Amino acid sequence: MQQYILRRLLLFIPTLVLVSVMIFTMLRIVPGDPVLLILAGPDNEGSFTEEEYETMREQLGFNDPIYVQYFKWSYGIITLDWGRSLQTNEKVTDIFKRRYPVTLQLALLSFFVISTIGIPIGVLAAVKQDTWVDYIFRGFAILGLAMPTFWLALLILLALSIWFNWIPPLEFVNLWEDPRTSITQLIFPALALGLSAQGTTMRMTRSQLLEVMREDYVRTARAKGLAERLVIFRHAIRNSVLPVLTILGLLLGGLLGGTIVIEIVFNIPGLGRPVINAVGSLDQPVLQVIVVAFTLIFLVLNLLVDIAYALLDPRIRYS
Amino acid sequence: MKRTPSRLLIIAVIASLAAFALAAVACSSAEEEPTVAPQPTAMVQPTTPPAAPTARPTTPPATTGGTSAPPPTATPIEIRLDTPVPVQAGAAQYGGTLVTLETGNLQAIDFHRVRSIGTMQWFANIHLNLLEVDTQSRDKVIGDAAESWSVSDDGTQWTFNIREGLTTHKGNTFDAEDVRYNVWRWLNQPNDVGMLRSGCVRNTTIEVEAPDAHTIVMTTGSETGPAPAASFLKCISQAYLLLQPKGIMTPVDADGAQRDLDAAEVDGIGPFIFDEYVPDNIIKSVKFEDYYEKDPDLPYLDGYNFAIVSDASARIAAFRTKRADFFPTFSTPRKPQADQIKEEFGDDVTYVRVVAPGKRGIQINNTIEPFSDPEIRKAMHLAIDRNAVNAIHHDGVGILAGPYLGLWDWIYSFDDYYQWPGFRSFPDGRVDEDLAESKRILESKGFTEDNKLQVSIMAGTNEGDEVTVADGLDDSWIEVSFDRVAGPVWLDRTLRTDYQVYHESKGTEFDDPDAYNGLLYIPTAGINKTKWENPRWLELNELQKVELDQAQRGVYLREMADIIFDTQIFVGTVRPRLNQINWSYMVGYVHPKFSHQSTYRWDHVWLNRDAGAPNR
Repeated sequence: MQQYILRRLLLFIPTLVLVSVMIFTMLRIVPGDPVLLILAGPDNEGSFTEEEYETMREQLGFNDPIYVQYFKWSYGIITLDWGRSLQTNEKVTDIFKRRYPVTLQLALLSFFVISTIGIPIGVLAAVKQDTWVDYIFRGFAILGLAMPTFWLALLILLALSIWFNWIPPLEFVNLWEDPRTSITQLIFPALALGLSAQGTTMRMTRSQLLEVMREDYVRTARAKGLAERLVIFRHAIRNSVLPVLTILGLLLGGLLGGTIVIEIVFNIPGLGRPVINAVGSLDQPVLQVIVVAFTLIFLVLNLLVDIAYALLDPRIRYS
Repeated sequence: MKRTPSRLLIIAVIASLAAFALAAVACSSAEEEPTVAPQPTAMVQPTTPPAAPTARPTTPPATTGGTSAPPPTATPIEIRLDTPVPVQAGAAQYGGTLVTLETGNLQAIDFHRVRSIGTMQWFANIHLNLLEVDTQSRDKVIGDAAESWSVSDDGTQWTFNIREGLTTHKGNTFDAEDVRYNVWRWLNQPNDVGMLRSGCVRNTTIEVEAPDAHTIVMTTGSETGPAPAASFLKCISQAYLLLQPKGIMTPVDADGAQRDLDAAEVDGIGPFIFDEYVPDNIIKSVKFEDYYEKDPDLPYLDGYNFAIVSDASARIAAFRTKRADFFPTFSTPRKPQADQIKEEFGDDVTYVRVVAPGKRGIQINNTIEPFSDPEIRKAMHLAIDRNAVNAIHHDGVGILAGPYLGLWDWIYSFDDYYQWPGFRSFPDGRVDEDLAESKRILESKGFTEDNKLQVSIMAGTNEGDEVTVADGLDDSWIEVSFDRVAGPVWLDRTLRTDYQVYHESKGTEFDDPDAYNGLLYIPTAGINKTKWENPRWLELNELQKVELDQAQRGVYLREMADIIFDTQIFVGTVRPRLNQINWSYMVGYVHPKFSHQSTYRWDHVWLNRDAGAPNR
């Protein structure tokens, strides 16, 4: 197992290098000149001379060959000098340190919502297959899958404001500063994210459980007189949960890197806005670091899911 | 057990990148931001007397606006407010925190680097101006850090008397030396940091001195020597020229210090102290106890917060639930939503529309064929249905974007412009005569129904207007295609004049035609992408700049407007009027008439808890 983990960790390196080369290259292929954007300013009105333009390109290293730029940037990443935002001049490390904990809180709460809704109703739907319970939960899951997250978020916000004349406080507070206020701020975006994503979890749980419940060992368990509750919880669910775990791992990875639009709707100061601003302004240092960081998060989560496989199913051994 | 993590990873990475791109497209702001990047221009003493004004014709001019010159009047026409501000009785109440809504972060902490109106609205409460323009009369200038001022007989030397006893939030003295340093900074832009809103100072001022702790002397003129500057007082009293204490600026002005201020470094003399800044969430300030206005003891509020809410629906929700008290311009909903709020809450909310002066329309590249032919440009101008643009994109409450603001009726009034071919489509819709003239011009150039003029409109910002502009052009012998590009590409191509036509929208920051000239028309103006210049226009510009007699200045400016109209490079369409809404329990605030040109300061504002103000 240790060797397997070590091997997987070593595989992180070529994956991260590949992703970093891709994002680095893509940002230099896409049309548009970040130096022009800086000089023209936020309203595109700045006047500047060709000399000023060339000086800034030189200062920012854009005149170097692309491989030199890449190696300089890579060295910075390794030495934790992630550069500065081209637009705000803020250190990328500061942006990440200040904002990622916020995104993390939202992602984890959303994950909690997905798990606590998706898995139980998937189990219930499978157990009550082809009854009205199953139909309602399947409909609920399809509804969640069909509704765009941002639209659901807007509906929640408007419903709160029109029917209850209340929305969460505008000033964001962290969970560890004021848990009650923080939960009131995070629960609705988490619901918006969770209700959309629970559909996948619910359907995967249901289909896997139905498949397992047709296995011989389940029939045997029933034949020997075990209570249905024990059959389901002790034998069926445990064996059907592995593919669900994979889905949950991917969903969590998506949440940790993809709460962008929801953050904007609910005014949560996570990484969403900097990502969008960075895309719009070709802010390469910010975008490169965020994409590589999200990749790393995905890699780690994938590894954790694989480790969890072995813990949940003693038959699985990595060698 | 076989696993394929790398495939999943690749898919996930590609999906993430696609999501970024989609999110960027979905959320790219179409909101127009205000302006200005005027660069210093060399002033040339006038050598040729202006042409005498022509008499007002009894019939509308046939093809240009240039021959219709009404007698100049010095009084700007009144702009009507849509909703009168409710009168609130009772004594002012102290305490509470005002929350206003904004769409984005501060552009910079060092205010002089800033152009956005939102950032100005925040810093207008942290710093003071030298002077302010009264937001209602538009012509009346009132003191701020300066309590009085005078001008020399020849109109070149302005003396300002700075209030005594001004102290900063950090307890330092603020006197004439601080003011002098601010003006010096606007003139010299240390470390090559662009201070673009102060371009009019560089265009008009040649020297600043502080002979004693309470006196500032500024000399207007050009490199050829002192000369009067017609727009100086409007320039120096513009809201964007906020005064920062010298002590906070010298570290960032030191040689090679290429940095912005930190929030902790901010100091000021305004009514509120900069307290906390959480980007994309909130900016907080607290009352400055030693604010200079002691009678009454201002400010009334304990604090002022700036809630940064970038989503329009979320802002409406925040306002409805009284999480926020005020939508300033550019954060407000469109008219239908604003009307609905007014209908639902009645007199509990105050809702007005303010003019966003400036320019909006299409810029035609006069350096390439066939657009280098002024007749072709004129044919395009004539085909635009400005009434449709106004109805569809400005909720029917926009204003005509003429060469200069139509409220300066001492140049041309809106009523004058409405008689000009092309512009006369604004009030009632395009007239057949204009469309026929457009076709006739095009036919004379070889374009027909079967061989239409091909026009490509590059669109990257303010998407919307250009679609209706294109509808109008399509009615003539013009076939329009759209070249939709991302913001960075749009910018790249406009700067390199790699376009046929592009759509532009910019506001002007002070109430004078020189704000238009500096922004749009002079060859070094940021929006004059093709470096258009006309010798006669430049000559008249030099004359009007130093002309203190407004009637005579109007004569010059009318001819300049005529030249711009005849040139048809800057083809104006419609400027928006912007909604401002506040809960009526917010007392002491009178909505300005011009969005970009007002000091948004809350020192006289108080929250009436008897009228429903929340306790916060």
